Amino acid sequence: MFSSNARNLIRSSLINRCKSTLVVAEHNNEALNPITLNTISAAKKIGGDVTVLVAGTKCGPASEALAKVEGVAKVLVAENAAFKGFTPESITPLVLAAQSQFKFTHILAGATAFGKNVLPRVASKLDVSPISEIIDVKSEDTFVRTIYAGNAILTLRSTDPVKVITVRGTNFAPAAATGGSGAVEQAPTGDYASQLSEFVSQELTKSDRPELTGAKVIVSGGRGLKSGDNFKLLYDLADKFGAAVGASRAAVDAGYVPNDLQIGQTGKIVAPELYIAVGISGAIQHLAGMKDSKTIVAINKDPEAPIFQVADIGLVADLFKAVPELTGKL
Amino acid sequence: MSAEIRSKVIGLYKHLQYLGREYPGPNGPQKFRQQIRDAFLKHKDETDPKKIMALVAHGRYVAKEVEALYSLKKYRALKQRYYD
Repeated sequence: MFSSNARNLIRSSLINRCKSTLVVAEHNNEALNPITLNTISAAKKIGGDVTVLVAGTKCGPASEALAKVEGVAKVLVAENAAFKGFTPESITPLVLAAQSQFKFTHILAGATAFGKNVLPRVASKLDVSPISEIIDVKSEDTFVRTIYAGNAILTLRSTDPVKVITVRGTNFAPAAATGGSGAVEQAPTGDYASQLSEFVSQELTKSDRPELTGAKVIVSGGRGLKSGDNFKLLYDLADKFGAAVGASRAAVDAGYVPNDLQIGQTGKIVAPELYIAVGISGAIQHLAGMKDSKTIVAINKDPEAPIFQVADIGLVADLFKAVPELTGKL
Repeated sequence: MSAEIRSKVIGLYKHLQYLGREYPGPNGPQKFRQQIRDAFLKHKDETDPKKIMALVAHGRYVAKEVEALYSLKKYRALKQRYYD
């Protein structure tokens, strides 16, 4: 009994000593995506050294910003034309090369389209199980994540040698963007150009409004708006607050708005200070995506709509009258 | 209607009525239970087993939504009381 305890002790102290975390940064070659800062907070909570990997065609601005972030020990920079478009096929071998050189115990990324694209591939190459969308870190190998669309919370211990984790940004405070002094180094070089796929082009919807996942105020619309043109009502209201605009799945499925606006279980998970739901009846799939909002305001003409059961403030009114009136008063 | 389907329909009805006991809002339980009753009565003449099973599946979907709604309502209430 003693010997096994002693062995466990030695093993855990070995793990403690070697603990190191790789954070895969997300940026657009110009600026850093704020979720990277939330991910760094999660990495700091795990403990050990935090190394950040920046890959792209132009990493200067992002790597400079990251070196200043508090708690970052090292920034690995990989500038290569192969990373154009941040395709997982080209970034995965880079992460693997960094992993084989530095032997990280944890690999983290934000739970965004980018992170959810790259890390499962990394995990499968390392032959470990990825741990998706964690909301808390209990210890170096124990994490908390939601299951069943957020209806239950699972605490899990991973026995894999390398933990591959995506982090839900809304559950971790961003790391301080100043006060750190990380060393900037070159990532291991190699031929990362993928034969399998090639980045052709992307079309981004340009918008001056804040991004949904980070917005303080969100106005979102559902099938009650009846058409895509009527979303203009919401855009007008959102401009008064500097708010982001979202939509329910029903509105996306009906083709009123593109699916990058979708809030819910299959869309984006948001946690703003103020959430205004307009013409949304409140299917669970939508409510699950916004249940962590501080204040929920619902405008709907059906007093029986389920959304009123979870809203803090409800207004039973015709949205085509109420919303312009609200916009006018602000 | 075969005995098997019949017991499924009755089971669903009882389950929904039971769920309705806690439906929130003024007169929530009465309203909800009346709505369930009306919805079942609307299809009382349905004889095609396939159609009946589709309706039962829809009823089960409604039950799941209501259960999830309760747990979400509870989640928000607890969060506001202890965590905000």
